[in-house]
Amino acid sequence: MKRATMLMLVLLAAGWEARQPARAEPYLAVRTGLPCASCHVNPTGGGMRSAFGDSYAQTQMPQFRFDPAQEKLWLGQVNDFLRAGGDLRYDASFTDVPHQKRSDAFGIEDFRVFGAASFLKDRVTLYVDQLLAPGGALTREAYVLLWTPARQFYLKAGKLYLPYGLRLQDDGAFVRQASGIDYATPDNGVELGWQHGAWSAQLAASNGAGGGNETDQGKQGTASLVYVRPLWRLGGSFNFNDAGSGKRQQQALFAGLETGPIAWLAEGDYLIDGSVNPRRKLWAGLVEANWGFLRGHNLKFTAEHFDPDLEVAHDQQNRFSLVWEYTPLPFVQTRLGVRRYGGIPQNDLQNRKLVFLELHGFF
Amino acid sequence: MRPFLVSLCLVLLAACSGNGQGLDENGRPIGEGGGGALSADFQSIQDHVFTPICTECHAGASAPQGLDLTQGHSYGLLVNVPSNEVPSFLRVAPGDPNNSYLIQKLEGTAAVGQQMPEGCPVTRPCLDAETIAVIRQWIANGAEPPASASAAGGGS
Repeated sequence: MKRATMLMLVLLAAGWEARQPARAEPYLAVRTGLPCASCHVNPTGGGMRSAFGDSYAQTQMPQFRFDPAQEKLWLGQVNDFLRAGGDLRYDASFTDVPHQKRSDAFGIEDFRVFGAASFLKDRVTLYVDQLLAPGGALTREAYVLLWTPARQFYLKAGKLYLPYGLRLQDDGAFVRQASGIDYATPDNGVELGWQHGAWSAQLAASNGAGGGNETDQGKQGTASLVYVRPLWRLGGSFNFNDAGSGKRQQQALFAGLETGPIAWLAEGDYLIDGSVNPRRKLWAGLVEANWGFLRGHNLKFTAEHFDPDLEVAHDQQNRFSLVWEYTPLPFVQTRLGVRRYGGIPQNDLQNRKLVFLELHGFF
Repeated sequence: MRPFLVSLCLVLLAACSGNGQGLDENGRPIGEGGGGALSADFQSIQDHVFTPICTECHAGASAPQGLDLTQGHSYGLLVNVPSNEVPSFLRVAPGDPNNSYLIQKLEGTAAVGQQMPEGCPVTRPCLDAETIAVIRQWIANGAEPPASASAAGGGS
């Protein structure tokens, strides 16, 4: 009882972020019944974990958990004003592409560090998300975040991930790839956020240049609305990019549902892309089941479908993934996964298979 | 457990891939373009590299770094255009493959960001040396545009 009380105190003390709106790592948010942003500094999820997220990673996620009554938890605070965090994913992989020599490789899949400075606590934050590897360093996000006193509204300005759909960790998911909105395509702009009870919404205006320099007069608008309940959530997103190469419009519906030990995610995206000739209509969908079958273990199955041109028959692609995620200790996770791509037989890459073992360290 | 398995079966049945009937290797109707072996001309590189591989991400109005590599846009956004990540390098510097940022990204020697295609060699194959050599050759030959003006396109 004493330990449980202590844990509650730690979570509550760390949990000021839980009042924030929007999304974080989606299946964990569904499983806990909390807004995703409970675990992230970024109000729309992803990147640096909040004190609550760090606490959760030590006391709830792993098989062998830290006991806050016995051990001091890392809550991301360097001092009263600065927070730090990071993510490293190191992979051993085996790829099989039809008609090509099989390949295997060790490599850093992703290494990012995060920093946040809040000199006016709960009101003003300077935030950076820096990719260090693979390859050379690259700024993913860098923005200033301003909250109103009651934390009902915020304004974010800088380079930022756009608020659209589920913020999946896997950039290769069809719904992320088709929408072109993922961790690789932050954009320069501003974002206005709002929260009220179970509702949260974001509205962003940005260059629409995929993080590159602005090259035309048109801008990109993105809007998202999410309703979160303890056992389910439902959201919708809209994006319109008036680029020099043509106009592109897309919309997404996404949802989460908890049924016993399984957390479900689903997203469907419909796009009209006028920047290609002839204009194309595309659709991509994802269903994901996350089964927490033992403490510290998660079995993730994902099925995806992509139709790259609704006017063209027989060109559909799919992608199935089965990933076992094991978190033995705080901040350490292993992921063993198999991915099978299915596409037209003429295209070997659309029919590849991937097996990977990943070590994921984070703090 | 039972709902989990039932749902998996339903999803597996629901999502079938296309059989490719009437399509070329890029999933486009036969006759729309493409075909033949890879050679050191822009249209061939478009058909064998940019369209089937790069446009998985570099497509549409929101393409990463504003680099849309779809047919009709790619040439104008590549040749003599400074890269966003390292503006001192042109994406394609005609006659100079070593100082073309496209080559640096494909070979993994760029100072900023990761090797392309994204995820290679860990989650997908990198371009093989022969393919990169053909692109190098096209650049060394002056990075000539395709014969068709509509295929050359341009950036904004």
